[in-house]
Amino acid sequence: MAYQVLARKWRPQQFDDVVGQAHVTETLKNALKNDRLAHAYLFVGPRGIGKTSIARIFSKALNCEKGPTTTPCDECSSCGEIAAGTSLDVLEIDGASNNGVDQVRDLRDTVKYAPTRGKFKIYIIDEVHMLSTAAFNALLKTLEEPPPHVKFIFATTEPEKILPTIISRCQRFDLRRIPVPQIVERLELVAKDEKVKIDDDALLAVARGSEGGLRDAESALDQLISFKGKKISEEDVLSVFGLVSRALLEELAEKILTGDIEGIVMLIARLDESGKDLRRLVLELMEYFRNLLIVLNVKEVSAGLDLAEAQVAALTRQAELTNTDRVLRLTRILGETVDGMRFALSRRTLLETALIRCARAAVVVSLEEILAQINELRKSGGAAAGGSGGGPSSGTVKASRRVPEKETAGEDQGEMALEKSAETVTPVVPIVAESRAEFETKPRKTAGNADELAKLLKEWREICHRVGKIAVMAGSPLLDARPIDVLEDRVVLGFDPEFEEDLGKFKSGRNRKALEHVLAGSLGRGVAVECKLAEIRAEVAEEQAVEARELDVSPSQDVAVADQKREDVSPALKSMGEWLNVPEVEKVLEMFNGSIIDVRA
Amino acid sequence: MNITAAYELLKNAFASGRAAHAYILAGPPRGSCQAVTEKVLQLLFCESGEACGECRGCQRVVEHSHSDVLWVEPEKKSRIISIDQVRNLQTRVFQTSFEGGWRSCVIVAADRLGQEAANAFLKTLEEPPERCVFFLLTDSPQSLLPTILSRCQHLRLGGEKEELPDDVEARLVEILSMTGENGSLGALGQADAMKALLKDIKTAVEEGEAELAEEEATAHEKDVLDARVGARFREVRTSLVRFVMLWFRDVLMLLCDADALVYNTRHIEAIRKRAAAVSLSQAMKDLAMIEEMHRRLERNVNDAVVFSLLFTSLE
Repeated sequence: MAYQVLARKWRPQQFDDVVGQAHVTETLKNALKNDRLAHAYLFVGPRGIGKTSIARIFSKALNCEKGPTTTPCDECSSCGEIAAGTSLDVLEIDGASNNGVDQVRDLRDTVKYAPTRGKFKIYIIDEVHMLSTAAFNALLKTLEEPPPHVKFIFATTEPEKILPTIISRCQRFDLRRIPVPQIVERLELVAKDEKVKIDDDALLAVARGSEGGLRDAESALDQLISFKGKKISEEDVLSVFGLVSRALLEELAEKILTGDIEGIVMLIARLDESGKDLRRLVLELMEYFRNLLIVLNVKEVSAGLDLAEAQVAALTRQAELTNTDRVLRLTRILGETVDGMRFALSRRTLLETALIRCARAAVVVSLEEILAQINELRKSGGAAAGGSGGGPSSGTVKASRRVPEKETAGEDQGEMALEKSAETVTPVVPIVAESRAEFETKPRKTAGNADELAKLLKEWREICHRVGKIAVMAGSPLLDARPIDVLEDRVVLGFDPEFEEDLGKFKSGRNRKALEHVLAGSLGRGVAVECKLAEIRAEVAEEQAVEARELDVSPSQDVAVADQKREDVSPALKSMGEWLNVPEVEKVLEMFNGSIIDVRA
Repeated sequence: MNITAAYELLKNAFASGRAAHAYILAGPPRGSCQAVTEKVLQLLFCESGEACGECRGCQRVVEHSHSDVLWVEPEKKSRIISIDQVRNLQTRVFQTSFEGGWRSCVIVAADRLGQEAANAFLKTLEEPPERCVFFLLTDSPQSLLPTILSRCQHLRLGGEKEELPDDVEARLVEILSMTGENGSLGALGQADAMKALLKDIKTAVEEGEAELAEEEATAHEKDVLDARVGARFREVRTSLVRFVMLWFRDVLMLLCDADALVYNTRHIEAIRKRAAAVSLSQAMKDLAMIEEMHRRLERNVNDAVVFSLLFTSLE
């Protein structure tokens, strides 16, 4: 007989041979024992885990001359015919090739004839997800009430493509990916029978590479045997499947964590030239960082976490270099990269850019860390802060005052800042504002309430505009409100009774935070907002009328007015391009890998 | 692995009688993949059994005219291998061979198997008849169905470096060297030059295929010819875009102080100039932009639009 690949040669012939699917095989066995057979079964699961095999074993069990039995004899002519695919009573249909409604009609016509020899007429439809909708529908009636001698068995990898009306007529079995130890066990058996010497590490590498599919693992072993002969080591496995060894992975991770960009590209070059699978590399790197996360966050590393002893030592050492946030950022970049790899023009280039991004993200300072640092500074007092004024952290603080970091941060850092916008920004501002006061060492004198109130009233339109930019829904209701009092720690806002419902919008949440943020910026200190009802309609109307007269513009041109005002504030720096040349801004941009998208006074 | 190594592996597999029934060769389909496949097929069909390359068997393999070897490639204008082609393949494969020996089926650009075609192929691929071997040639094995992948043995043939015809390369280098000069007007000029270059390439491909068809003296239908021109043109365009990408990758490498890793050493001066003008993050953005351009071209977005967008943002 011609050579058959291991996966076919070792196709299980008994329920007990099936690896890792006990929950399915036991159920089927019990159904056979207790004579509680359904007329339609659906087997679902990823590639290479035993759907077709179970379907065949089940049909043998049903039609065996000594059956129905849980252990088909494999000797009678019925079992033999089924195994050889020549049985007249077991029809294995390729659903993908026979997917039209006509073929289903033909099938339906044959259903009513009794089986020629066995007890049942069994239709196995493999790849059933490829049946057309019309074909599925043509099958519905037959599937609901088939003659007693008919059984249907469907197998598919993509159950979501099957009509719900079909699924509800079947008993559905979800087959699982096979765990690594069970694959190893099976491979050992196969290797022994094939008289191949293969060490445990090599088996483990094969099993890992197969991602839960036994057929993949067996094809891999087959390939190894045909390439490398009867003696196989882990080296061979790694080189044939383009996997990367632990040590190299560790080295790469270390380079990423320390931000050694040159080292990274050099290492990638080495890996690529030795023919490693780069997509696989990203996946493994992701798993590596997952392990690092575990070491970072779990105090007692136990067996359940799937970590080898030797690995833990290296991981613990690397854990010193980083923290959870940074590693999370890395895994996110790697995740994007895996997706991109599928259609990438040049995988190597994609990998290089991704890992450079990783390296930068691994050493870049996060907002949380800056905040922690600032808080440190505050605790140790203004004098100390002034002393370290030249340090990078205080430089960042000053710069972030000019260009709100929420807008300028780029891809890596920016995502984080944006996600948190309201929450993060609010705490930042009071601190920044206060620490600015500290840096300037010139204590801000508390101006009279009236002055500040006048200032706010004057700038009110612009304040509304700025609030509106942060919280979209907050801007316009504010236009009809006015600040009526400014105290040391809060600003009292008056709402006209006509707009009473707006008052609720500023009780809490994002709108309130946005408003507080802007007010804090304009007053130079952190303030709370208090809202109450007040008669201000007349004032507002009058104001608007005056403004309209003075500027000869309609209210809809508010934005333009605001822009004019802004130009007045900083006439020297008008365009974004000019901002780019300010050293502090430049530094912030480089640090956060960002770009300027908006400039506000 | 290189061509000889791959061939040796397969030769051993066949010699020891452990050959699988289906192989996926990953690499340039019409380049190294086809070369390896032809060599292995010669081994199977050679009259003296050692792939002499001279006997009738070997020659017919190379000419793709052997009656027991079925070559399947995209034939529609959409460059998809249709389900009809797969059905035809199945009938052929399950018939006895004409000459009583091996049968083989080679699928060029297997990633272009349509959804239905790929699924219809699954059962055949899992349990093909005896003495029948499938070769699936593709440059992006990851876009094949996982169910197909798991039924085959895989060989990765290297070869990322693209060789463009000299004149094309010269023109492309000229265009790329201008990047960042003359502002947005320059960028539009570059885009125009790029478009003209592609148009010339397309004409050349059309002429080449027409000549080839004449030589083969086969009266191909217009559809088949169109599909071939389309496929060939896309291949050249992809390598062109890849050249652009590698160019900017080299910029990135220079910025990383990894001068030794520069691919395009011939034009290193122009690349250095660009590297001096941009920051690391800009270089990475450039690469992302080129990747995006590639995606757009694949989606048949008008190339003039794509190129002007690209060069304006590279500025």
